[in-house]
Amino acid sequence: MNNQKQTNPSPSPIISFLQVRKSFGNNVVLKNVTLDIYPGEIIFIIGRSGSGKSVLLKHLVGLIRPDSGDIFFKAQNLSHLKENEFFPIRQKVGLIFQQPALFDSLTVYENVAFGLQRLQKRSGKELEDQINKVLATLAISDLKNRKPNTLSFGQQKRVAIARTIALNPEVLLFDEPTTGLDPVATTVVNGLIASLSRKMKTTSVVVSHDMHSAFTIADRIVILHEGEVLVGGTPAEIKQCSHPLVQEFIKEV
Amino acid sequence: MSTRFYNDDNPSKILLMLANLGSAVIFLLKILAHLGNLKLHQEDIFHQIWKITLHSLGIIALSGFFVGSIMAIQFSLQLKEFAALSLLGGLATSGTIRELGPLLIAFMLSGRVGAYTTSELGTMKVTDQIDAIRCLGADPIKEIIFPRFIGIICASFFLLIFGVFTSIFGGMTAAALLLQLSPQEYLREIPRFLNLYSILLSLFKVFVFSFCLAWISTYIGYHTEGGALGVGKNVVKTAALSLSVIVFADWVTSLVSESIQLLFS
Ligand SMILES: Nc1ncnc2c1ncn2[C@@H]1O[C@H](COP(=O)(O)OP(=O)(O)OP(=O)(O)O)[C@@H](O)[C@H]1O
Ligand SMILES: [Mg+2]
Repeated sequence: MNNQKQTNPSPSPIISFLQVRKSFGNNVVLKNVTLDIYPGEIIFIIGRSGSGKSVLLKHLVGLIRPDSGDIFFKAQNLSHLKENEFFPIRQKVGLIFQQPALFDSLTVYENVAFGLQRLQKRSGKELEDQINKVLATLAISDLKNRKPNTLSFGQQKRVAIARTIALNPEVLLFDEPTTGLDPVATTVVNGLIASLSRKMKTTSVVVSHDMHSAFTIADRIVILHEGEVLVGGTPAEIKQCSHPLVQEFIKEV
Repeated sequence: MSTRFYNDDNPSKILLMLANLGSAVIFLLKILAHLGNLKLHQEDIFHQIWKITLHSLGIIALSGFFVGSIMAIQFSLQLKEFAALSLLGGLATSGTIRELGPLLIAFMLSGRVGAYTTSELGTMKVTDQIDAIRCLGADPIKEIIFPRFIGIICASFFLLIFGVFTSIFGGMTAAALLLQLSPQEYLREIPRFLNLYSILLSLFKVFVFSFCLAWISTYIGYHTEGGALGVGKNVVKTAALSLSVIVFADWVTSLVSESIQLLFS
């Protein structure tokens, strides 16, 4: 039995990347990524522009398939699943894209309703309540009937976050959630990620350039560089790391 | 070495074309697989038909009107020589219905509906909306491609019929203004020249053309890559490809219909 619970709980990972490799033509984006992510943690993935952070996240919902290597979600190997076999995975793993990716023919309300109606077959009062609750959480209730093209970028990002968290997935993948948000909205989103993790035991994987957010809410920070995980550790450990690239990233905080 | 601002690492154009054709066929089969649940998509399809029809009604009316009057003027030159102007309405109308009508409407639609469909789908693709649909538990082919595909085909029928009527009206107007031929005289001979076969042929042509247009514009739009620039490129690609395919399809259907006619006469 595990008696060291208070010092270092090491449950089995909810997500594992095992020697994942992905290239587009001659462009090798992920060379050899091995990474474990544990249930309930908030893990930040940091890396230069073009280092493959978005590509890494898209593997988890089957939008991109690896060339080789394995990806496990709760002991299920995702690397060879077919498109329709990903539907149950997408109920449990929600991706918030780097661009807002809102449906421009639908209102904010309808955008948030889209997944709830399809993935969870919700309708009527139950659907309405859930949407209103999420819109309130992100302070965008007043935008309910607007179309995405009438919103600012930051507002669109928050609608996109609302659309995915409305589904209460077990794992949330955030691709630069606070880029383009004002400081107040950034604090709201960071607080949301933290509280989802604490209250709902949601696992959050956050891709970000925002080291300040990382040091505020991350349980663990991983740096992706040249297609591999360069270093990983708690915020305190990362601060101690002497690698020049790591220093470059944390310099500004 | 010079700097290149374009991408030309294509291995072999022919291989690439074959691969594209193969994937376009698979794409088409995926769309057609949803034919079984037409009822389910009723509302979406009606919405698309309404949108496309409304979008193109003006241009079709205008071009139909002028095509009709051009046909009337052209035929009148020859018919005058034989003092057979009374046949004008019949000849001009049947010519429009059999050949020029479907072709012209398909051209107009490829400029309007084809380009619009590709740019709309292409924008959805490059802004990750299509991937978002997948992540939210839906099938983009079923949700957004299928209704547009059926919508384009159905709307084309309406627009053809509408275009034919405006072309008759155009011919009639030209005949009245330039040749002093009364509308009654113009319309009287139409039934003599118009048989069921030519009407069916015309409808069949519209079906083939709009099928090609729907296929090409949705396929190219759905497979757009490379941001706003990619969308622009693919709109041009749709316009060019659909025009050539439509002309080719016209040639094939004309050839086939001629042989069928020979067979039965
Ligand atoms: N669908 C695709 N087809 C071809 N190349 C791609 C595709 N998606 C990503 N890439 C390439 O993969 C590399 C990594 O892209 P990715 O979007 O993951 O970077 P990123 O780390 O998220 O960068 P950023 O911080 O700017 O968002 C880039 O060179 C990009 O051109
Ligand atoms: Mg990215």
